[in-house]
Amino acid sequence: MSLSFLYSLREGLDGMRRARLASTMSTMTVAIALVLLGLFIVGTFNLARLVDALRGRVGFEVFIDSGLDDNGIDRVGKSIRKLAGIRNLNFLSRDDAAKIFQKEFGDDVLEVLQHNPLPASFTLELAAEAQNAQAAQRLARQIEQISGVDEVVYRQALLSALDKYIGVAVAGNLMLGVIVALSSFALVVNVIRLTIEAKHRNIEIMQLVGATPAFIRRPFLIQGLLQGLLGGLGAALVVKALQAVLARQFGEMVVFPPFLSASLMAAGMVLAVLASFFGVRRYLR
Amino acid sequence: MTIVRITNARLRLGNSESLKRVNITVRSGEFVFLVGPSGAGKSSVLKLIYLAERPTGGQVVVGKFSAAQISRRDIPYLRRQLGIVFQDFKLLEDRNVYDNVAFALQVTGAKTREIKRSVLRTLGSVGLSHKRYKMPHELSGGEQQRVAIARALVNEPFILLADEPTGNLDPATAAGIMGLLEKINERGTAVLMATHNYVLVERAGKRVVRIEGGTTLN
Repeated sequence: MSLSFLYSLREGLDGMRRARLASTMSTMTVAIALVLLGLFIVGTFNLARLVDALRGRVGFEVFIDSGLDDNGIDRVGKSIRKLAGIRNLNFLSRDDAAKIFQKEFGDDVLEVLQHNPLPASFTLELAAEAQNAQAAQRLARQIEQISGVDEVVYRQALLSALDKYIGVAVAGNLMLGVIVALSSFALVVNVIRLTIEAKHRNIEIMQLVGATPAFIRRPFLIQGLLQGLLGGLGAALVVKALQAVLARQFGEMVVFPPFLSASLMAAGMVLAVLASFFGVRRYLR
Repeated sequence: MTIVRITNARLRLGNSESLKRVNITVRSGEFVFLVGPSGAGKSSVLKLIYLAERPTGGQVVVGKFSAAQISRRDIPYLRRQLGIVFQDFKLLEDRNVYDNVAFALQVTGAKTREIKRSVLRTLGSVGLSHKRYKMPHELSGGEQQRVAIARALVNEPFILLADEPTGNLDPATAAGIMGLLEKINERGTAVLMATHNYVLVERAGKRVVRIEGGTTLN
């Protein structure tokens, strides 16, 4: 390690010690900004999960003609599988359908009607690209043209509604994201700039004594790095605590994205270092 | 040997012409006073020498550096060869006397042991080694100026630029600082001192360059 780097490291730490209040304020600002950012990320992540879950619940069912034998059903299944936009295909025999009926309604359909009127069916899970009203409708039409298919049933209204409102939600969320990110950035940049502004006389003197811009800048960047790291750590702890509280209240309904804490710490460091860089640059001539 | 040569230098700051025609030469080991009333352009001349400002006309050559050719990144290296002292001392208020003086060596990448030896020797030469752990605000004005002089000298500059170094001091302390600058000059360091304290100038009996309204007078 070079003497110059060791000097910068020591200066960076000394700088924080000399201006304890300002450093604490900067670190807390970084933490608050990152908590805001973290909450936004958690919100967006869970909104995306909710949308995925809703789209997965369109209940795409293909009912088979009652008269079709096992070979015919097999042929229908193979034809459906060949189509694009299907992630998974499950077969539900007439007996299975009767069992589900009994489970849901409490009566044995055979006892009530003396025969099983329920058709065999295939339950489809749509691939992500087919989880919109237009693609689902196209797929339904293709399946309906397969010989042996009686009817295709899915929640078209739900998909249409999702298509309609998701766009608005995504745009709104994006706008909110930009606002949160910019506010966080502005908050951190301004607070760090103020702490550096308080030292602008020192920066001027250092230049008069013959310090190079890099030599002056380095301790400030190290300070920024440490403040960002500590602020990020603080934000990660707050978010973790919140995660624990929400997990106790809502179980797995609210999920936190993986690597959130590490990302917040990294974001804190990058943000604070950038803020320090631009803060010092103003006074380096 | 000429170490500072300013020829027909002009300096425009904003809308006003701060310097109109400046001609000064300082030779190695010389003591030169730059005298003139407030606002005559004394500080601006020094700024041209340590390149806080570049001349808008004429030539400024300091040591091996020429204002017309020096790149921005070389300016710190020029300043390390100069010692600069100001009326308001310009000490780093958040560190002690030792660290203030050491800073001038730290920027050069000097080794810790070397820094320690040079700082203690220089503080000794200005009579402040016993106050090395004091913070600037714990010192008198005269002592603060001595620290500033020590910082200016620790890199063994070829010239010491002093901008009204006694301006904030009482007459007795000012005389003490003047004595210190003369002693430094006797050891071989050139001194260019801007001042409007004519009593000190007359008492010292050194070469004087007058400046009025941004123009040096012969």
